[in-house]
Amino acid sequence: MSFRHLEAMQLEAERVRAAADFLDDYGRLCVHDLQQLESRTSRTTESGSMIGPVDDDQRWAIQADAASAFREAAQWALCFDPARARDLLDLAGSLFSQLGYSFGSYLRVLANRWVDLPVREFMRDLDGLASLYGLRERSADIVIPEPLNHPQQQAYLMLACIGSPVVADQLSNRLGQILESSPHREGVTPVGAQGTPIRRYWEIATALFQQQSGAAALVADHVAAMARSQAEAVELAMSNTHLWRNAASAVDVGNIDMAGIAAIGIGRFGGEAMRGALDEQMRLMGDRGRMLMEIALEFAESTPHDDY
Amino acid sequence: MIIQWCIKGLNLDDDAAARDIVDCRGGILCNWWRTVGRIDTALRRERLTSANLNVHVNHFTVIDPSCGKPFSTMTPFISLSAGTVERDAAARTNLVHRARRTALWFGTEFGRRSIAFLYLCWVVLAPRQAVEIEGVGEEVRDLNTYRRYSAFQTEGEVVAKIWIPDNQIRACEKWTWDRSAHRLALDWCHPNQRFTPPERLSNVRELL
Repeated sequence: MSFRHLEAMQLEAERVRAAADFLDDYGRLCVHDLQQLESRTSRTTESGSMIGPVDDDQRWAIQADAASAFREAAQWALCFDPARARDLLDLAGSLFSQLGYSFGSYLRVLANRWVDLPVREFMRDLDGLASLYGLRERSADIVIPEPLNHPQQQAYLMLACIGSPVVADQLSNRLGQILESSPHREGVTPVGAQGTPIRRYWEIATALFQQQSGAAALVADHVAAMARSQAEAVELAMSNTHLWRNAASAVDVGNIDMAGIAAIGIGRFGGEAMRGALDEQMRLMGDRGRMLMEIALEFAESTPHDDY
Repeated sequence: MIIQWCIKGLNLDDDAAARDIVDCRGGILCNWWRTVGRIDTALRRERLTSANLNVHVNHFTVIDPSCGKPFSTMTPFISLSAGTVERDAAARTNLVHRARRTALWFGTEFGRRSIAFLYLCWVVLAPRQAVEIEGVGEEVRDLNTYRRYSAFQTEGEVVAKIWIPDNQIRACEKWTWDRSAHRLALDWCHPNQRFTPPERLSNVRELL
């Protein structure tokens, strides 16, 4: 199990559990703060006070803080309790989604706890993206959530759509068109914790979507590259023993991009094909990179998959 | 110059020790001062170096070759958290954290203890690195290559030097983490009666 990997990376199981618990409880504290803030606002509105509505920036900061805390708690939980990680990812994803972040949709797809998948919202976002790329005429009825102007959110929107069988099926024309014509196919904008160039995400998304021959191997190749990059970051971070051993380093062990891509790959290509392709890559990899991939893969394999 | 609000998270023996930091006017001292009891003015200059700042940020627990003691006990710097809450950066990184979170994790000694004391304070930051100037704090975002989203790290970690005067501390808060009950809560807040608001440094002159 993954605790073995954590110990090999000089992380004590108890410290990792404490970090996950702390971040989980901190996220709850923020949600509580948010509720207090909302109730204060409604009270002042009712009493006709001269105090204005709650500062939008304040509300945003608390909600984004909560979402980030749950997301980081999930990244720790991913190393030892995949079911809990999924609960936390769903919480984080829901809060991010409310803020208009496609990253939130990606997390919710990854958590696979979404009961009423908002296909219309995905359609709205894809239409918005199509209009940004000039594939559709801009019109007043296309409202693009502000965060979607950022390439990083666009990459996560692609993964979220492809990771959801219903969306991938119902909106496949739109998806295919955007994937093929986006400037991000050649883009170098950094995405994710390791600053991976967006072109890599785009190639992954395209391979997952098109499912052509050799696509699983291509995805595995990209995941391996991400693991190598993360392994180097971990190695450097480990030299700061004080922060590393206290789970206070600014480098993640549980990688939700790798885990998510592997999970979507299993859904698209089947467990055997994806595992085989990743195993092939892991054989060529150093210890650290292999452990990081195994942690991600353990999570991906434990994720229940809907049929495409 | 930039005036930056920050939080310092500490784990202290009891409530009295926490309140004393503001009530006895001692302020927050660097570990070097706390360890040796009394520090020499000339030595301050010697210890405020870029090399020591690098050790403070990246190798906190190594043995300091100049004295043979752990650097953590002899550092002239004081780590503070400032948080990262910029909207555009958040859309690129999907990561936001307010200063309180980091301060609580450090203050609870990384989850080993149930109590943390937080000090809300302000420091003056230089717009450029100026390690040897004691009166200004430093942003430490550029000191390592591996940090999460380093390309977008706009704020978040600050170090003060030697001490933070008590009148720059607005309040001390006691927080309790009941891990089994999943509850992180503020117990009490002790305002500093001698606090000086940073607006006193403002360069905006009011119209008379």
